[in-house]
Amino acid sequence: MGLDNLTDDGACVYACIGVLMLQHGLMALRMSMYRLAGSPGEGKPNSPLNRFSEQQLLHAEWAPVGAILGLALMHKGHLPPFYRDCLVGSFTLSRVCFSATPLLGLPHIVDIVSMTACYLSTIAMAALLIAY
Amino acid sequence: MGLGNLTDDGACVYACIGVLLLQYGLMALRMSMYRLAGSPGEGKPNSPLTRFSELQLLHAEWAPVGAILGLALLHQGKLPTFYRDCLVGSFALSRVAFTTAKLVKLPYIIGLVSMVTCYNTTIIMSALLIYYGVN
Repeated sequence: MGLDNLTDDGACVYACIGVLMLQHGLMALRMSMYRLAGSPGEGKPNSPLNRFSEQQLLHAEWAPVGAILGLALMHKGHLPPFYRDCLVGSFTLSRVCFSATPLLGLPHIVDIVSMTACYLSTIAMAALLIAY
Repeated sequence: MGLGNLTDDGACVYACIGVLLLQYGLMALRMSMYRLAGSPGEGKPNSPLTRFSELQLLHAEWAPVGAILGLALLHQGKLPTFYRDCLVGSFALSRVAFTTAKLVKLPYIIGLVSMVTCYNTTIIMSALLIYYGVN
């Protein structure tokens, strides 16, 4: 069995979708907590609320894109599972890293690398969907 | 046949996705009507446009999440169908109830309960996808 035939049941894609959507739910829940607390620091640049709100909005924008591309590639079934899993996995990892970087105060380079990985995997998945 | 094997064709999931995306389309259409009418009340807090715009944005954020999770659970095929349909159904119902509660100004508790239901179903469906993905 070669790498091309690993994880043919889509387990990796489903787990990645789960991770993306779990992060979506948890970040939205945190925003609701801020709202229930009266939105302290709203409108002030660099307040914790503003920084978190921006991250939450970005994740809400990107998570469905990766999930839909992963599902579409899986059901189309033309791309070898190993490459498909790598693409969906790197998309998921990049979203988690991108959100974690400013929240945990990680170096800026992590931000740049994860953002680039997210763009590249999105473009690659979309192009492969068209090409196959 | 137990509850776990009811509606195995995914009819409930597809119907829920239809409801979520129909609401999405109708709300977006209503926003376009506001735009075509010159966006009366834009920027004013509590104007009908501002309130509707906020609700439309929230639905646009959440509807794809429920649809994707429902489809993923359906095609993963590991969760008993009854529980899967209950989760997707309660997600769809919670989005409809949340929007209705805010638009029709129903008691605050309805908005709160539907919001909590939406969060809970999202987190449970995601956790089940991960669990069945790695097991």
